[in-house]
Amino acid sequence: MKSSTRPGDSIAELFRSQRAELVRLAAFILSDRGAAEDVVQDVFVRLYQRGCPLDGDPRPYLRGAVVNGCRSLLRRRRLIRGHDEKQSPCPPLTAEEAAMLSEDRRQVLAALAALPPRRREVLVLRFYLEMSEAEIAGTLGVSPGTVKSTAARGLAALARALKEAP
Amino acid sequence: MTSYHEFRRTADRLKDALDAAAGVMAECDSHVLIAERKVRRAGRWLPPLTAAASVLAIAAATALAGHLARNHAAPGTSSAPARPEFYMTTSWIASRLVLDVRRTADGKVTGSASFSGLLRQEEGFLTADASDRKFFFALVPCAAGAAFSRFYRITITDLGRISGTAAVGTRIRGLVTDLAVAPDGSRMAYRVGPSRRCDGYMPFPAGQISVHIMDLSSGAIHTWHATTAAAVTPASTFGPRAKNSAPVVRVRNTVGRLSWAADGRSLIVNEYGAILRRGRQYLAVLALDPASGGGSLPAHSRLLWYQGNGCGTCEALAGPGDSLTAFEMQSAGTKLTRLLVIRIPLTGGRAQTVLYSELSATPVGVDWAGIFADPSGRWVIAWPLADTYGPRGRQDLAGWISGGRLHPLAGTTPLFRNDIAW
Repeated sequence: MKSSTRPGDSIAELFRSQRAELVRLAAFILSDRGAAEDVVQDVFVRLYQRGCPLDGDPRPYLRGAVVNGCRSLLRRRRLIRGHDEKQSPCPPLTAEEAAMLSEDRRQVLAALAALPPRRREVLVLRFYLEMSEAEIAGTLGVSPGTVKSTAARGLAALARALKEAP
Repeated sequence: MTSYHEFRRTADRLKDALDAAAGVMAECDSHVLIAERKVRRAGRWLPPLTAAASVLAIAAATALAGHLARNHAAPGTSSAPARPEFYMTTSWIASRLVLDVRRTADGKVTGSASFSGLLRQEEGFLTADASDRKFFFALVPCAAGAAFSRFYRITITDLGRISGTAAVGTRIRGLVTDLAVAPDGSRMAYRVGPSRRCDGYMPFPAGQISVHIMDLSSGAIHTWHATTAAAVTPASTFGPRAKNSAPVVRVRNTVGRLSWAADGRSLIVNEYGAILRRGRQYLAVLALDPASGGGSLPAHSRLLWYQGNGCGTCEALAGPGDSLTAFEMQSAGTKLTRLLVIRIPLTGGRAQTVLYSELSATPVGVDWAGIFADPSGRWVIAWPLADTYGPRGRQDLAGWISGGRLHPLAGTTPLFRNDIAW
């Protein structure tokens, strides 16, 4: 996104228009709202430090950066012992937000949160952001075939989990 | 092994749950709080860096937070409304009206109610408010004398089971049609057809020229009247070739579909003008101010959209934001019929977009066409054109529009367009 204005103004505009969606994207991948906000904040801080050098549509970069940030966080969590952030019964929603959803939807979200991170990433990009397989492949740095098979395994796992749910 | 049908159903449920969750997620009130939390957590989550790099990161975050605080208001939170979780379909079985509550994700019937001893109505007597938990409909009991209509409300649980049915508002003389309940469920807009005796199957009522809004708590009714007829001079009578004694064309107006803007402040009215003896019809879409209390429809309305090119079968409903969703069936050549569902922005100079388009080589009866929308205007249901006819007539199911295609909704019967609401 070329701009003749100050980089901070461009970032402010991007922040205003993209932050909410990016936080939700990260929240669905991490099943943790607070951590999701941190990840998105990190992305914008790094963008600000680099002077916002984006051309064209910034969304692919931002989404890729958020997904990578989520992966980094999940890797660190596995290394840090005693990670005991309290989980709501229906991550990434708070208990109050979860109460606003039907039981069916809560089950689906809980099943999604239980999936391995890579499958969760693909399913969230596909069904929340409605990205195509090619776009997801570009964001994650994998082949479209890998996206397809990961999505299929993810959906199959969800289907099994939901079938077994009371 | 997971079947294709299970894949599709799971995908639908996942998309629905994600959209719904995105809708309820609360936003942090102040991005400054986010930055402050980031600074506090920096010590815990930053990877091992030199002290100088850590200080730089924290300083940058603080500066960014300050810059953002000075330069913009609350971050945008325009999340699209989630697809309705339930929809209601109607069917007539052995002279009984059956209302089925169905789950959108898989079409499963979660609740059902039936009524007997009624005048049969085919359309326009079912509507839903924005809660995704209340459906409203009108019943017309058979009677020896004039027919009277009464509104009812069905309330459902989060699982789609019917938890209550109650009469609302007051009795109305005549047959009500084109029901549209306000998004908050407090008022009902409708038209009234002529009173009929109970004779079984009831034909579609003739177009009426008045719009009514009833307060469902008090039963108070306000009425607005369209212009019954007008004498207009066609545009071709102006200009250098115009004749001095051009014939005056008489136009008769009728009122059609009604829908509420998502904020409940305007009632969107389809007013049709039929140019007599020329077989052409135009559509004017008006936004009526319900707070005006009644009187003249044109005097208390704004013109939103006008389709004057001989609108054959067309109608418009309130769309999301400041927009309309319009439906039109056109002849595309001698043997082709085209169906179009279009989103028309009313402000901002944005372009119109085609939500759904279909071409059929089979002549289709125009009375089978139409669209339904949820109270947000975002989610639209349409019937496809029929390419083939089975022994029972049309076999196609209605579907909700997304990504340029129809996603079938179970329980929408073939043959006639039955009422549906969500």
